[in-house]
Amino acid sequence: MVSGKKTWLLACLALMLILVSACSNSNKGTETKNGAEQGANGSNETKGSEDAKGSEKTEKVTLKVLQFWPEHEEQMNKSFDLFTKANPNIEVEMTTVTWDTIETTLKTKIASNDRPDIAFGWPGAFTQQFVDDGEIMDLTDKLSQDAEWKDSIVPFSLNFGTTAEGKIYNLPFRGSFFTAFYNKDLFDQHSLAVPSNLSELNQLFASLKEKGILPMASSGSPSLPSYFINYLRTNGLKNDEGSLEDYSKGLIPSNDKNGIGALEQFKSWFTNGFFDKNLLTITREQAQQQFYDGKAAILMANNNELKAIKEAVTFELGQFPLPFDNGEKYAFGSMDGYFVMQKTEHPEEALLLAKFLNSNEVQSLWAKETGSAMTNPTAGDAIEDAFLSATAKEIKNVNPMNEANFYVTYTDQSWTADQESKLQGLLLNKIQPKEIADWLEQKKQETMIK
Amino acid sequence: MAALRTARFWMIGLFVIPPLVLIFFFTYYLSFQSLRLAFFEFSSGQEIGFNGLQNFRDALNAERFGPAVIVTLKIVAVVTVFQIAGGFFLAYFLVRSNKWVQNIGRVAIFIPVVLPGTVVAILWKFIYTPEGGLLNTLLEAIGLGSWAMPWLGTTETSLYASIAVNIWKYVGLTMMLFYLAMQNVSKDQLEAARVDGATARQELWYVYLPAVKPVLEINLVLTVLGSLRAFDIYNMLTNGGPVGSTTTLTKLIVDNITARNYGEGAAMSVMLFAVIALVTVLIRKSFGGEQK
Repeated sequence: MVSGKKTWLLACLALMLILVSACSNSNKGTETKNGAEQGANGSNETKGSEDAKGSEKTEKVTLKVLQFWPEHEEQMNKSFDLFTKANPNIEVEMTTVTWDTIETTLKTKIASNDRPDIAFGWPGAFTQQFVDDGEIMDLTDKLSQDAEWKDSIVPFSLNFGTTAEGKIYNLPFRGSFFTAFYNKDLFDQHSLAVPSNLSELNQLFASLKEKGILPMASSGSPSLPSYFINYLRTNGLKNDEGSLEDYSKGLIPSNDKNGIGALEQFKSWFTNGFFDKNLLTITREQAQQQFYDGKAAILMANNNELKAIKEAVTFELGQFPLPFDNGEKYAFGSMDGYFVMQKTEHPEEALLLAKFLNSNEVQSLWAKETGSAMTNPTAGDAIEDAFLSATAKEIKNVNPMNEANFYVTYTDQSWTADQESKLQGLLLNKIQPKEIADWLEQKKQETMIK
Repeated sequence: MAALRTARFWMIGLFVIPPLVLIFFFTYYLSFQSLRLAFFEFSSGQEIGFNGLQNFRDALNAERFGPAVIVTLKIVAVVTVFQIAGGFFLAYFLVRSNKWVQNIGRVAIFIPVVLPGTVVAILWKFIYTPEGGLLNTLLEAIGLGSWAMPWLGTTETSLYASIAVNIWKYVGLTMMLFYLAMQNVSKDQLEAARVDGATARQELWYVYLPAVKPVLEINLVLTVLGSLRAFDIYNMLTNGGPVGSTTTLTKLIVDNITARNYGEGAAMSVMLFAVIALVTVLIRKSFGGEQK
């Protein structure tokens, strides 16, 4: 009887241990490993094989990378293969999670002292929180002392990872920006031309509307396309020869005539029917469908969606950045970047890999295989498709969609939800443009680090 | 014998201690931490010191706090009335129906309860879609095209459209509890009432209603508490918009925490917890009083 109980006890204990070990492994994402320990057939080994080759590992350095593109694991592995071939003493262990879990994953890894050496993430608020915690390495001096490295990055894209104090923490990897895709067949059929300034854009919208075509397919749920307001604001600012840098530093108020004018113009686009009348409830997928079906002439979309959009449409696709009156071109967006962790045990090797990720070798591979707008100045040349290549090269025109990404850092972002609510109120006639501009200026002054 | 007792002791410990540890950590320790955070100041997500009741003052003065309280109270009022009444009458209808209707009805009405909130929200988003959505198409088909509108896109309709989904999802649970209580009404009681000449309405009032009173208390507590904490369906349907018309208190708390405004978010959580505790006690007292 007693021995029966003991057997039960042992069985229960074993079951618990299995459960505990299963739980502890369930939230680690996908882990793959590249380097000298990789199998001869080039396939990735799981982490489990690491211990078996422990004696060999003591002579090598293993860099841990946390990244957020499950759909680009292949390109990531190829990049690390290139790196480990050039640096046989280093191997790379990659953990892949989805973009919406990377923040939690990184925080958990930091809390459990299981930091990666390099982590992917966006510049601006995402990076800033880890900078505040002293978790990210300052790369300002490293870049200024290494001309080759610095030259391998489109200069303007570096601003995204630059803090209010002028320090560089986040290295841009590829661009992520909004650009206007249009139905070229529809434009040709109605003899419409690509606009070269705001006035022509307004005329184009009015002509399309008159012909019974929805000018702009855009989603308004869960958030409104506020990049249009930034575009209109910046265009007004440029017309007055104002400095974007001064504006971003808060030296030009949000409630000046251009600020209010941008809100008025955005509202007029909505009331004139240039957007869908149900903009507030239109999801991204619905907006895309309107464009695919030929019901809408222009689709504002992320450059990284281009390949998918091109495959979905049956007409010839065109692209143009939102036009400025002074002839300048800007695409509104941000960068997907990465950073080196301050507490890495292998700073030298981590910096080597960080630099390698900006190299033409890696960047061209990504450009060719994904059509992404890479931050290496010549990577776009690797894309064979002329249209994809032209869009990818728009990286040089990318301008911050959000002021918070550009020099200025806000201590409090809770008001961005209030801002969304007020913009909805603007379109529903519940609040006037000037009230929003005044409120925005007040919030900026309250929360901006000067 | 002693060895058996020791083995039994360890066996019990093995089963009891792990859940106790988990409950202590995930319920009590984290709740205590939340309470503690409400009294501390944060900057860029970093705790920088004790600041007394300032977070509570900031929370009460926050621009969206007042409207969120009103939205939450509207949800509590409308959901409580319609879900309890709906659940009661659905249960009464099923109890008086034949077995076939009872079996089909129970399952059909209870299915939304087991569906995940995300699925329900996606389903109803399709129903409420302004162009080609099921509801507007139906209205047009029956000649009420002028009633068609972007149900989730106006401040006048978005809250009530979301509340309707909330009730649709949870009325099955309310109904099931009432239904089980009504099943306890004995045939003798019903026959005695009928012999005394009771009408259907009198039967409902004097036989069924007293029988479900204990369950009414449970249903009230579940419905009111669920409404005070309303978040998932409202957030997924409208993300709190338009113009904050569906922003509930819980949504506001989540927004604050997401924006690393931990102190204010925790202060709101503490206030919500206090209200929930108070309401629970009041409901229980009111029913306890009547039973005595």
